[in-house]
Amino acid sequence: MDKKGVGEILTNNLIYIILFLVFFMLMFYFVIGFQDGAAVWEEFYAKEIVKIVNEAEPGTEIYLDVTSLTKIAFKHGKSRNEIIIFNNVKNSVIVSLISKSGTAFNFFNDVDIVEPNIELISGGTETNRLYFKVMEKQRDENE
Amino acid sequence: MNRTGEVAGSGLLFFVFFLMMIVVGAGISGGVWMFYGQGYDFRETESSVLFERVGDCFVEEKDNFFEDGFDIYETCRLEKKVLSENHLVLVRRVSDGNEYFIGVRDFETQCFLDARKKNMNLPLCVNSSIMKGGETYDIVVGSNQDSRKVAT
Repeated sequence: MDKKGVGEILTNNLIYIILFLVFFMLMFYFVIGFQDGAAVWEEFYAKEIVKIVNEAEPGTEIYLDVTSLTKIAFKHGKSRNEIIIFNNVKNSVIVSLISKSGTAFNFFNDVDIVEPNIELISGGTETNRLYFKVMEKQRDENE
Repeated sequence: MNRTGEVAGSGLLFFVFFLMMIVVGAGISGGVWMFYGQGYDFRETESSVLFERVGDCFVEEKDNFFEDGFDIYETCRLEKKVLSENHLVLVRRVSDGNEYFIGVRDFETQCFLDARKKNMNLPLCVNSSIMKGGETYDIVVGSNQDSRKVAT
């Protein structure tokens, strides 16, 4: 067999290996999202938090037990302020339990969410709760 | 060496490789889907919450809904960007058929399709009538918003 033939075989094999690795990484990323029910909890909490926000009047302060959520997130190395993110520009809530990925859901109530924080309940060592305040939308002067 | 046969063979192997990937991928995805189900169906709940908001607002601001230049987003404190893509709010005055709507108009039809419960792309709606000032108003509110995966 000449050198050209060997080169072609190597190239073909290399393409197969690269494709397999890409496929494997995609499937791994997909399955890891369901580890500990992370994807299910992300979706559940994103939608329930949005329901609370949609029903809230400006000035309302919300406390929500998120212990089951934080247990999974801490296991995946997430810090407290990375788990639940409010985006007041896009009116969305993002719940993220695994690195570099999250589940987003939009709220239609035209309000701003301020001072979001996951805190330890006084006296409890393991129970975490989410706190946030619903405020009137702060309009940009250019809008 | 027969180059034509070699190229054809490589192409065929490539096809088999892709077919295997698809079968394995579909198997894993199907298994996960069967275990966890379709996800948390929030459409009806969201429609109910939106219906309450619009209903309360309508009772308070009834006359304004059918006036020129009425802005439901400003009056009822609703977010335009969110409601215009995956929601419908339709208020119809029964006596003269006059209508006010925002969002996706086609939802009025999709709301009543038989497949709406199983198909997450179709909206689930709340449909009710409100009597006010001697007039009857039909209100249809629907949503097909679903959560989406984002990079953080």
